[in-house]
Amino acid sequence: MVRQTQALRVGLAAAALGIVALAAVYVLTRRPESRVAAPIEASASPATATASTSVAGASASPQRRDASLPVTVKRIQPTEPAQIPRRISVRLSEEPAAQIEVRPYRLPSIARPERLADVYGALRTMAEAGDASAAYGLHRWLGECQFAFADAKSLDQAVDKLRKEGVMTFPASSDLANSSRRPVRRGENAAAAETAMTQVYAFCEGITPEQKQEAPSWLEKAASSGELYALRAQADEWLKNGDRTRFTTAYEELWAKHGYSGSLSPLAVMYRRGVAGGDPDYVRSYAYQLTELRLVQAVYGASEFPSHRNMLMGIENALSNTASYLTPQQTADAVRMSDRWLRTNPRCCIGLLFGATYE
Amino acid sequence: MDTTFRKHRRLAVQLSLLLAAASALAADVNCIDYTPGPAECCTLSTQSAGSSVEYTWYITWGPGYIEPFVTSYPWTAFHCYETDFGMAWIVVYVDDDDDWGDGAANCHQY
Repeated sequence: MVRQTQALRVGLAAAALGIVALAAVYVLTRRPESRVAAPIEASASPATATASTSVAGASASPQRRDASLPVTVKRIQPTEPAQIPRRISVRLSEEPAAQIEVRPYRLPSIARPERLADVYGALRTMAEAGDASAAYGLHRWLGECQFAFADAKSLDQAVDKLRKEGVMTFPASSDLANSSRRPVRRGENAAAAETAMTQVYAFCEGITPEQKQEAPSWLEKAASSGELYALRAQADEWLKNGDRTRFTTAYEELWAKHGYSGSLSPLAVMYRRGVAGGDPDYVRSYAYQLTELRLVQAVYGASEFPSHRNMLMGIENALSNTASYLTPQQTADAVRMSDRWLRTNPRCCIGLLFGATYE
Repeated sequence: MDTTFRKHRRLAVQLSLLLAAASALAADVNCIDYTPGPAECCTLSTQSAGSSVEYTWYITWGPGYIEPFVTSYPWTAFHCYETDFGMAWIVVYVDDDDDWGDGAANCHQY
């Protein structure tokens, strides 16, 4: 009996040790989970998980995670149900007010990785298989990496210059590298600039110059899906490349075919300056500004938040400025144009103004 | 405090904007307060000299979305939907490409 009890005790102890060992293995190997995202999709290829080479001491180079841990692409799962379409009442020049069904903007669902190189291979596989969110992510994040210094030494030199001279420098691959302007930063601004330079370096470490050059092609792939966020990004590229005519055409399409409210302000600006070498079209510019103001008023009109009030005031001031170029008849024409758009645009409206959801 | 406010307060991000003066542009971009919704979390502003009519806003690096992307007024909305990931670096071009300012926006989820 005593022997049986001893054997039972030994068995129980062994089982307890086994449980503890399993728990330890689990704790040591589990990955931290995001509060808003669940891991799904493909794992990154081993080749993308580069070894850590962080610089110690006073270097600005960031510390990196353990490269031996697997990294997966994550999709964002909203913590609350998506905001469903809802109706807003938009005042026009004549009664009745327009009753417009507004929809939240659909954002790409793939969560921003901690380090792009960790998931580059997996994103590429997904994008090639037709995942618009993955293709857009590659475009956006590879584009951001134009602002990352190529190596730790370059980063440390830039940070050193910032600390000693208060001057922020940008890598040669960025749009800002050749600008003559070099804002001087002190105090908190300098600290924020240093953080930004360090974080973008950590995010992009392991991404090759060749991979950075892929950004435009991934945008084309994403836009072929018809997702609004990708179409907008594609339209924005025209302006970045200095082609105002194609930018305007693309944004007119976003407004007419998608009802994208974020089109209104850019279109007002383009027509105010003149499109395709033409004269300024203040009537059309006013109509776009007024349409924007009406939608923003419908959403934020009752808000007491200073930033909402200031946004409204900014649009109202811009509208007044444009009105100073118009005759009363032209103003009336512009008002009717805005009335017509808000009554007849079959897709009006969608935009971040009305909230966001994920694809 | 209405329902909408409470709902979005849970999701809202606090933005601290530390934007630098950029010589003639004086691009001190401020976040006056965080705004709970329906979508906006912060208004980015910049104060340019003169009567500028075109402001183009970019996130060069970091989480978040900007809409409108081009404005005829020195304001736009910065939306933090990719939260929990630190700092975004914002650049604003005023009228022409050589007149610009920049600065940081931080997203911190409550």
